[in-house]
Amino acid sequence: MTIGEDAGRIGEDTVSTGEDPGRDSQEPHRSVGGDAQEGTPGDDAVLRRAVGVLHDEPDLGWEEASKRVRRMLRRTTRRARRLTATTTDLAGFGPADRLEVSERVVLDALRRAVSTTAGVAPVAIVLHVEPHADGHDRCTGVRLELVVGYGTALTALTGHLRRVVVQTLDDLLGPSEWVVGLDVVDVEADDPAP
Amino acid sequence: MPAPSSASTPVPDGLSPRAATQGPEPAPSRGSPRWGTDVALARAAGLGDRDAFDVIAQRHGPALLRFARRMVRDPDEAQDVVQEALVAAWLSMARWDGRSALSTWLFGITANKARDVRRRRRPAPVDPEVLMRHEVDVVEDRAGSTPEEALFRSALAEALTDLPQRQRAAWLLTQVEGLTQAEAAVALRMTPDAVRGQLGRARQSLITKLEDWR
Repeated sequence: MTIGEDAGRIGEDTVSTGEDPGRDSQEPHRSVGGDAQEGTPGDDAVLRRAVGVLHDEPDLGWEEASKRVRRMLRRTTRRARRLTATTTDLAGFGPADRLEVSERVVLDALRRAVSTTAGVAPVAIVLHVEPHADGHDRCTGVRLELVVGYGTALTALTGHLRRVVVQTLDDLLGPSEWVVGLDVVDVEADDPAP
Repeated sequence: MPAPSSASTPVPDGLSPRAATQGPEPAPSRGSPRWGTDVALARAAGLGDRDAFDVIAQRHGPALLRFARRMVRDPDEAQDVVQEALVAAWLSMARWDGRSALSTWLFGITANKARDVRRRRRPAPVDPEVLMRHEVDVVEDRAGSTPEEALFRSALAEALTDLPQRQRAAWLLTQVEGLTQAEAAVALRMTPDAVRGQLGRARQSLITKLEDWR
């Protein structure tokens, strides 16, 4: 073995700890457990054992850590703007009343709404937000970047998604003339949904 | 204001609705075929899908904890490292660009957090409770293996602790976690040549430290 031959394959060679009794006698010897330096069979054996021990280590407390992570994530929120909804269609709302909806709520609803159709997944959802005359932020539209599965009927898909997006925005922020942009940015062999 | 009703918008010919399990806020089920590749999960998590991120955490968390456990001395610190790493990943998920594997990206964040923890660490009086806990760990470890195995684990732990951090990180990522040298270089923000050099030195140090076990 030369150093150059082994350089790119160390991880691949050494993570596998499966024993092959005939390997040492039939193949050029490869060093185990680190750089591409010539190692003796004894060196390799002890490093292989070390890798095996570490890889097969019993549970190190992941269950407990997992609970902590979940608790922390529940308390962790991403920054979001407050969007003022149109309330003219709502009974009981007067001109002075204002309804605010978190941008995060709108983004989540759009993600879920798009995800109800097979063969497409959103990559990015960008709300167009402009300050209104009343000084509050209002959403005027949305641009979605999409990845679609190979063979998806794009014309039907985009028409359908446009209706889905408008319906979602109407439901959350009140009826408006929404500007909806749909960009297919990638195509995957299978359904791109998780 | 009514709940969003867009899910009921009829799907036209040529398209199909996703399976019913795709409803709002499904309970995460790691064995379910609904949960696919890291790329798809990361894409959804980047847009705020907590269930998708939970699957990512459950999928990669044990390996991150194993790595962290060897990068910092204290088991509680290791849990802190992983917790901070996963919260950071959640907050910056949308910035993962897919140029490296998701696991590589997560290991990189974990390595950074481990470094932060070591920097924050200051000399402090030894807490007897911590000592007791380590003692219990050792006893429990030995209860699950032969004395010879337990001694080897102990020798290995000591040998790893003695390695400089960069050597240890490079060795663990490539040899235990299965990253290629190029991936480890991305995770550790080093050049592949530097990783290779660290690996060579780590290997020699470990062989020397574990000489009695050959």
